[in-house]
Amino acid sequence: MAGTFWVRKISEGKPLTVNGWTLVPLSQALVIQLPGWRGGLVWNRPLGVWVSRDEGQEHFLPVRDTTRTAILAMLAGAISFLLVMSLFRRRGWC
Amino acid sequence: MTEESEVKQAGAVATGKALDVAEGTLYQFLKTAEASAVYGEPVREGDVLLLPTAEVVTFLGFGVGEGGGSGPEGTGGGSGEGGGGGGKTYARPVSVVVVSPQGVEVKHILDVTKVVLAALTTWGFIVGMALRMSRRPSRH
Repeated sequence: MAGTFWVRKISEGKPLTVNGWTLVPLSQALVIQLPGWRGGLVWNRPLGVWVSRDEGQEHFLPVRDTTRTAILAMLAGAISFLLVMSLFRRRGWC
Repeated sequence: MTEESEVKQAGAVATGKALDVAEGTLYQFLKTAEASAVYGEPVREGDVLLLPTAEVVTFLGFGVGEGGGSGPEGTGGGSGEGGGGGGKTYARPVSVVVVSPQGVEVKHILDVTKVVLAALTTWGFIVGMALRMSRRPSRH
């Protein structure tokens, strides 16, 4: 990690065992370091959970950020609306 | 021990302490990149276990500087050094992993306050841009 400006890091959390299920949480972090260790930024978010049963069946449950999805959808709608409005004005339709 | 050497020793001790604080802060800063920063302590209620998750953003910055000078014809001089830093961490809940005898599922959390604030900001921006466009004459 020393010398690199940014790093995408996927890390596993402590496994949990309950009711015969074993959960291994995963997270994804973007680490940006300023040169000379002058600081930086860490943006860490949950990726999902690996779920396995005693019998060995394993599957991945993703964690989706509905708040960010809603906000990005709104932004996309707003930008599209403004682009369409600008196009209409150029064509003289409004 | 002369006064000058005492001052130098005190300065070295202070610098050492500052470096320890900086090192500890950087260590805590990089620790937020681990999964333990994003997944909270599980909460158990009977047969059900809840594992909360959050998005965490941390930023940090340090700065140091030093300077010195002397008077004309070496009649005097001085030097100084200093430093500072700051940072912020904020977290937002994203979901809860629910483990029950029926199975494991992820319950997503919608932050209504954040969505409403974003909606108000977006609509304010749209109205502002629309007004600006309507004031400008069209090309036809």
